[in-house]
Amino acid sequence: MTEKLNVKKGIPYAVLLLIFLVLPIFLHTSYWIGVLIMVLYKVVGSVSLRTISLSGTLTFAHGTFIALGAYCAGILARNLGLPPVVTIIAGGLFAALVSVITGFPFVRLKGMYYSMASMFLGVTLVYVIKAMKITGGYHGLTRIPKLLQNDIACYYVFLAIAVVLILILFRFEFSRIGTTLRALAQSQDVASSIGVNARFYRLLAVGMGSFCAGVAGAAYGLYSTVLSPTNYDMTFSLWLLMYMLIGGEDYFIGPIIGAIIFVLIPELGRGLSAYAPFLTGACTLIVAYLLPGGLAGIPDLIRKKKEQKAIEASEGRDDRASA
Amino acid sequence: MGVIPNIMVNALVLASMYILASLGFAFIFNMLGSVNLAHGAFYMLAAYITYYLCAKAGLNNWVAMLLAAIVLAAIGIVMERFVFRPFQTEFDRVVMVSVALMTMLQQLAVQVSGSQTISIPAYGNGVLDLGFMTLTNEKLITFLVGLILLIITLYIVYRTKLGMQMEAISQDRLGAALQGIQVNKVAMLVCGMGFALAAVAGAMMGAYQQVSSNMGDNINVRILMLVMLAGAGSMNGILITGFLMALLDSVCPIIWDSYTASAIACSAVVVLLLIRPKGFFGHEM
Amino acid sequence: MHLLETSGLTKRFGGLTVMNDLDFSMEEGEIKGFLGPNGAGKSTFFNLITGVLTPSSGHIFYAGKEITKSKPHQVAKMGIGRTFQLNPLFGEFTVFENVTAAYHLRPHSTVPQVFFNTKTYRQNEEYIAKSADEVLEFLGLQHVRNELAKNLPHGYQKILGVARALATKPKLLLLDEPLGGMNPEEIAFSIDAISKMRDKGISILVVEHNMQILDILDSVTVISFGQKIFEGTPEGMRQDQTVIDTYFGGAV
Repeated sequence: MTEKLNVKKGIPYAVLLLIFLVLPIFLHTSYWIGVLIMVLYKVVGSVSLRTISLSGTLTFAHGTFIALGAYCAGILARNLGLPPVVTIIAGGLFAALVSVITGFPFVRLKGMYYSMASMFLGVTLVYVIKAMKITGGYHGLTRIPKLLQNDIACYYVFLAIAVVLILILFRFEFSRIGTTLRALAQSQDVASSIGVNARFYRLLAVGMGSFCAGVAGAAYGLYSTVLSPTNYDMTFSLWLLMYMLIGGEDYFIGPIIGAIIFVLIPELGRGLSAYAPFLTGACTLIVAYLLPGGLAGIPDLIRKKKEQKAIEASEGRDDRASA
Repeated sequence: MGVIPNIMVNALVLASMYILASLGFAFIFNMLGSVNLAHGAFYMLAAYITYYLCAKAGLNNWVAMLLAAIVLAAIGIVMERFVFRPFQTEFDRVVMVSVALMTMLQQLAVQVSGSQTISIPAYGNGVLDLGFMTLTNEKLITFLVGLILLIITLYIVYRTKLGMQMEAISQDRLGAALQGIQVNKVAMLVCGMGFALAAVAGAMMGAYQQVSSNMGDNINVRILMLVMLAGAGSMNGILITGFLMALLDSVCPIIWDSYTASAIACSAVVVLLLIRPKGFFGHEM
Repeated sequence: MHLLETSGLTKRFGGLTVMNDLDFSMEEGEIKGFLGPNGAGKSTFFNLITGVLTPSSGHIFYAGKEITKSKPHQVAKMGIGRTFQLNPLFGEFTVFENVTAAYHLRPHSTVPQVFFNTKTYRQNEEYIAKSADEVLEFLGLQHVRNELAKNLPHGYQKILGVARALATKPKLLLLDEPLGGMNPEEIAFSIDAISKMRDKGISILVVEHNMQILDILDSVTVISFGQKIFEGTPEGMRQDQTVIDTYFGGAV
């Protein structure tokens, strides 16, 4: 059943937004502002990846489209001196354009074939970035004009962008478009028989997700002022996917929870960062084996367990009564 | 003189290793329908095990390689039992587990070896003069090991009962089970075999090139590309695409710098895939 | 002009010819049966018409337009709805959602209209919700409206397949074994529903094994191994020697 919307469902989002609004009051060092922006950046990356996966295929190349947005915006800002508003939107559009053109032959593939094709499409594009001159090659792009000089102002701009992007993706999913994409995921044959152009809708999802990813990438690039291609390798793409899977792919809030928790794990304590991969790996394994719906699925899991217990209990009574 | 023979030799050596490394991935992909993204990481693990057994424990490198293969075979069996079997139809769970393992193994590699360049002692020294060109014994040995293991594997796949059972399982798992094939046993055996082959490839490449924490990522991309290019269920296709991939990897670095070379080699494969997204030698999906 | 017409329709899979030079036509407003023993090529015929498969040679015309090379979604857009023999569903959707999702073409909201929640979109959605309930009412699915489709009993799932096809507002409806695996009550109900759909002005082409369907058919085409062996009325078919031989083995 499609996730139902009601006021109660909105509470976690409101709480999260409130937390993100007030956090800079307590964590105002530029280090912590950087961490918080990183959290928002990966939240948007992961939520937009989920939009693509609505049609039933996981993409392994999402980080690459974030990179394309970042590089497009970075080059425009650095070489042409365009204002952030223009470069950020251009970054998003560029990422969407490339994703749709390169996705066109591949969206016909199903399931893991699509995932694998997307993976080396992503890897190849990153190699191309490393080989090109205009992108600064392997050493990366430096001296990008900063979004805003004040870090806290940067943070609030980033928060605003993240909220707008998430609202866009929310609207996208909880409309007829989202329903059509879910229908495609369940049976492409049936969807075609009711007149759904599978390729168009898959590409629409890919384009939409990549646009938001590109915007987030562009904004983050303008904040960090340096782009290094090694930041966008396969591991980055895979972990954006992991945030979604760990958080719960069936829930809109899933990738948000997943990204927040897993980006913050290395920040838990000083000296922990070297061991963070083991911690995140172990947490992932626990979720993979114990939580079929991911972290966001825990309430549903508990409810189901309770219902089952209630049914068992009533059956037990019946048995006794009949005996 | 001798540029072209040299390129061919390098391509053959690389191809034998690429193919060896991908066989395990291809078995699991074709037969069990699982994508083991950690395959490259296990290949790296084997290289590290071999290196430590040689450099720190002072073992002969052939013995070290054998031990690494045995350890990896055991890991393969465990993976089948606890990952590929319970998550047969759940692609996303297999991705989660394999990425988690990959992340942990990579971090482990970074921590134990740091940033220093390490390499397994060579399996052979000296050169062989063929008249028109010279050939290092190391290349020859690497290629021969790859070739022999490949022939054994192909023999198992095409000429033995186990191979027929594997083919039956890839076509119809339930049907195979109903015919009395012990699907789980075959799957375990094949996973063990596939991981051991990857281990040998890792141990050989760790000497031929070097041991590093990102060698797994590099081979992963190669494996995925040649399996996809070959197409689902194709064994012969892997031999051809493996050589093609190796040829690209041998030729491009001569003409361009390493990043451009990678970009062009990978782009060539992507263009091929754009022509035939389902691969060139596989059956229809 | 025929509503649906094929000429010289041939489909080969490798060396195997499953449909050989088939000339077929049906008229607007009729219920036509497409019968034949197992493996005769009936489902292949549906898949060829709806563009799931492309013919090896021959042509398909719908309402005078050639649709030989059209894709499934284009065929649906032209007004051909269908059900499937193995009856795949949107299993994770409720019955109601299955039907509302099927209103993809008529009324159609463009992507920007949907995204910006325009008045047209909202009106369309209101209409769809109302209309979907009417379809469910018509096919007696109203009491399972909020069940997940995958949890329904088999007979209901088959009827849901019809409801979904009906929601696309087809001019021509292709039913692939609509009575398959149903109990006698469900069969009686479905036969009644099919004839009521015809009364609504929908032309119906039905593939079926169950001979109870003959009572409501206007005409019949019988095929065997991809070749037409009979064309005519249901009464004529019952007496035709070739058909009897094919079904019951002529040597008896």
